[in-house]
This record gives sequence, C-alpha cells and structure tokens, in this order.
Amino acid sequence: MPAIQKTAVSGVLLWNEQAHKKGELLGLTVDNQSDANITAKLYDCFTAISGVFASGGAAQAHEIFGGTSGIANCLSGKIREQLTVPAGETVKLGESECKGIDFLGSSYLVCNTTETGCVVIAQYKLN
Amino acid sequence: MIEVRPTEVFAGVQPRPKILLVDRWIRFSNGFPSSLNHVRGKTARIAKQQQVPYELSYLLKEGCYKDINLSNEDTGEKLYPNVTTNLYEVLIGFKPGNYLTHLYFPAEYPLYRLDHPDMSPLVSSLTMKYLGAIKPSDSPAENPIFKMYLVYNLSPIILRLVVDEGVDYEKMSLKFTINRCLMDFDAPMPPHIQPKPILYLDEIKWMSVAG
Repeated sequence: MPAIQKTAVSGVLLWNEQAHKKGELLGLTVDNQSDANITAKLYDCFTAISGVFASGGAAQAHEIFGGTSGIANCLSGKIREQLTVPAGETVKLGESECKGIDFLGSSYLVCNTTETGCVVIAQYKLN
Repeated sequence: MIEVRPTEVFAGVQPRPKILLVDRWIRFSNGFPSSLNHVRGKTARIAKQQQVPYELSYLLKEGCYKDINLSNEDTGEKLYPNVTTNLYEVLIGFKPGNYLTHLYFPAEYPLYRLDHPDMSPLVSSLTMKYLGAIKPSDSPAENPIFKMYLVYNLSPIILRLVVDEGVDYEKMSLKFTINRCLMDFDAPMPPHIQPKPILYLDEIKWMSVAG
C-alpha cells in the first residue's frame, strides 16, 4: 500500500495512472497548520476512448478529463473527494470513509489556496 | 434409512491442468472450413508450449461500446498465430467493473444466442444486452475460465465491450494468458489416447445436428 505526502500546493500529482489498474483511495490526512481554512479536492484525470452509443449507434468521441500537471489542467478532471479543514486542525479519513472512492486515471490534489504549514498524506492501492 | 441431504463424496479425483501442456493430444473437428485445411480433421501432439501474459484496457463512457478485433488484421489486436503449425490457447480474465462482453464470430454474428429469432444479444435493448453477455465475475482475472482456441487464418473474433448504465465512466481491463503451442502433426498417436476435441466456433454457435 503506497502512501504519498505533499505540501498543500495546488495542482500536484498524487499518483499517476497505471494503464491496466484503477486507483483506490484507502486513507487521507489533511493537516492544516496554517492560519487559514483550506479546501482540498482530489481530481481524477483520465482520457476516455472513442466508442459507439449502444442506443442509437451514434459515435462517441474520445474525451479528456484533466491533463498533465498544473492546476488549469486538473480542474477539468472529475472530483472524487473534497475536504475543508479549519486552520490549525487535522482531518483524517480512514479506510471505511474512503471506501468506494476509486480513480480511473491519475490523482491530483488541488487546494483553494497555497499555504505553508499544510500537509496532505494519501494512502492508496492500485488494483 | 432416509437421507435428506446426501453428501457428495469425490474419491480419487486428481487435479487436471487448465491449459494444454507438452505431449497432450488434440483433434480438430471436421467442422472447420476448407480455408483452414491445415488443421481441419487433423490430430496433433503438442510439441512445445509457452505462456505469454498480456493485458488490454479500455476506458469508456457509460452506455457505449467498443468492438475489439482479436485477429491479425491491421485494426486488430494481433493475437492470432502467424504460422500454420501454431495453436494459441487463449484464456481471458476480466478485472471487476460495470461492463459486459459479447462475443461475435464472425463480426455481427453472436456466438451465444437462443433459438427464437428475437433472442439475440442487442446492446441497444435494456433486456437483450444481458443475453449471452459475459460478466467480469464469470471469468475473473485471478481465475479465468473463458478460453478460446485460435489458429492461423481463422476469421476475426470480435469482443464487444459494453459499459453498462450506472457509472459515469468505466475502465475495462482484460488479462490474457496466451498459451502458444507448437503442434506436431506427423507424430503417430499412441493407442488408448483420448485427444482433446477442438470444435470450430460455428459448431458451438448453431448447435444443430446439421452443424
């Protein structure tokens, strides 16, 4: 079970996409020791291939949800988790709270503000 | 004495290998077409074998499907043997997800259907999309039971992967184990050997006396 620690700057990669696996979030800790409230969002960034609609047979073009690093690219991904942590507090989600939070592609962390003294730790598994 | 729920007892059961191994014998049915005369009706000994793992994944929107051609055509996944003496025994396992797989051979002709003309798989139908569909739990990646035999020049087999409703997007991951077998057609078959029958897919599809 890998774990990754990031300071809460916006648009940072937590884990990359593995072509044949989904990412499963097992735990998340947001330790906000800054002077401001912070809102952290986890984005799922992936590309869906082209296909055909089963009903009607129309073509479905490929779609891109989030790109490579950088906040602008992440924001078009799918939000899988969002947490607001008051200044000076720590919020910790365990396995039961994270159950069912799966990622199809890369996982990116985006915060509403860039603060020093805030650390995010995520535990995850690639299945 | 009354036995309400008799317990089944198996004695002397030995595990059998799931795949073809060296020195196993196979016999191709006479139902293979003349375009496959290099195997039609023939008996062969497995002279060599090698297992090659492979994975393919497709990330698709719900309610959509993607056709996967397993053959060596330009648009295919090139999972067929390229020489007449090779047989590919392909095991396919599916990772969990909200998707179905339909099998077509050749294209547009479903392998699994019922006798009534209406009872054919149809991905646009809320009910018929489940007819003959293989779910990931039917052949899980850890213990695959979905197996097919591929020979040189066989018509394309199409896997139609359908993301079922209820999820936004789904990643469909297929885990292949390709047992590459080298066949020896010249070896004399010893007596009392029961070769494994290899049927042509059309024989399975129509299931009639006329074939």
